[in-house]
Amino acid sequence: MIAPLRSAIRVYPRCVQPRIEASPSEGRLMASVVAETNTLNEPVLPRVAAGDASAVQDCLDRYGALVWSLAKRLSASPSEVEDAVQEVFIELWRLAKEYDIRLGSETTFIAMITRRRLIDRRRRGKTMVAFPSLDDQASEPMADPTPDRVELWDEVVKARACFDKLSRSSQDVLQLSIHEGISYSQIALQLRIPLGSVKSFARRGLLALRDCMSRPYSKLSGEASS
Amino acid sequence: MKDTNNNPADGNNPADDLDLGERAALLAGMALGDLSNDEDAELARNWNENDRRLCIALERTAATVQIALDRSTPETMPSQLRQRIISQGQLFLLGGASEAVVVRAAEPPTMGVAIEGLQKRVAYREWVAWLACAAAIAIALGIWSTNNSQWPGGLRSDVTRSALIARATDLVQVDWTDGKTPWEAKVTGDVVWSNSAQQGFMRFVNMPVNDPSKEQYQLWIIDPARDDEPIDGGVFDVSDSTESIIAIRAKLQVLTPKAFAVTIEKPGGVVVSTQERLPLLAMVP
Repeated sequence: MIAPLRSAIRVYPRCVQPRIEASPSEGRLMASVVAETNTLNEPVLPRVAAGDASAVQDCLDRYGALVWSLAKRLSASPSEVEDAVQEVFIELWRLAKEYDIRLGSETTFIAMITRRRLIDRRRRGKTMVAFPSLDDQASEPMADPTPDRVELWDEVVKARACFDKLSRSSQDVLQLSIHEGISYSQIALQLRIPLGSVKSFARRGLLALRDCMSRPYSKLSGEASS
Repeated sequence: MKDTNNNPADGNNPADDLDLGERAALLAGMALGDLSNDEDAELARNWNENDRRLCIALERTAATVQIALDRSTPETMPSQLRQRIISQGQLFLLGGASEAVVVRAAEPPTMGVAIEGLQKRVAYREWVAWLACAAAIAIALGIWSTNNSQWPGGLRSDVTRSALIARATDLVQVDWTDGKTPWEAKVTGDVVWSNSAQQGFMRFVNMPVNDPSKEQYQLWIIDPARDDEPIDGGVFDVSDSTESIIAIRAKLQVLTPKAFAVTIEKPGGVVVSTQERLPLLAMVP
């Protein structure tokens, strides 16, 4: 059972820059979010794409801990973490030009690439369908487009609000799966539900989150307060 | 797609999934990394543009939730790993590492360096001696050509060297000259080094092939601005006397290199060189 998320985050009107309101027990809330918020208007991937050598170190400074932490949590074994992190950054250098500031925060993009590489590592050796190219992300824009960039804070606040709306089982499964990196079989044991149900709750939860997060922010805010 | 926002009831019945599009469920499974082989095959059979769009959207959703749920204290990655990644990234930007590969910590870091964790530098009096020695040495002419020598990580040294020369704005390029114990046959070539990239290459023409089981070459970087002692630039072998391009692997950050010296040492290199065999030197003007 996870702690209620709403206690730490409030849904702010979109035009207002949200800020962290963390309880003492949640004082370390989302360090990666804070890191990007501090330098919100200075994405580093476009600089990488432009060939700015100093951007490499800046990227490590800003996102190294995020990628490292995700890799540690989601890798199959500790011995794979360093290789996985290197793979992620090699992929980031390659895909830096694909990052579109209009379609989401840089942190989300990097977390997405990190997850993709880690999943690919787990699938390695199997003949499986490849993740789609990111060269045309605009074909699936966020449903709440704004002239300016969609800021990470908005994404996170919306994600948390939507997460709270999921069924408890889906919340628990996604918390353990996405965040903790625990296998479905272990989740099934921990939650005492069938393995098939774990998969079902995870997929259903993710689809519901995507549906919820694609709604206009104003509508979401209204629902969240009801 | 089923909207669970309107159906928050808790339940354990997998049959609920029947309300979801099967295709969407498979794509969610892909974004979560939980596809079975059969499911994956099914997805691959009918992959279409809509799948691509939804898959990316679901990946993005999962990543956002990942961040939103993260309350952990960020951990700093090991400094050696960080440095490897920075080097790989800078090489990539220089255009020579399009085929960048993962370098594992368990692999020899470079050019057969066997002594790890030691301060591979020589004493102050020695670099003074090296510089004094160099002052009396004539400058040799370099000969330019290419080869296919490799970085330890599999990257072509000639390509990355060319990229470094093309892109670095602070490039130091100096020719090899005879050291205090030169070979009979003239060895030429040069050293290129970029401080901003902290990368460089040695190019040798007519360099004697060494037997790694008996002796190896070792590069030293004299950098008084950095330290009183020369920096170990890596142990290396030459397997082709026609031309060899070897990546410099400085063990410490180089500030203002004043000279590069090649010594012949026992296999694995040494921590402190006696300079008994110092065939090549390159002085920075």
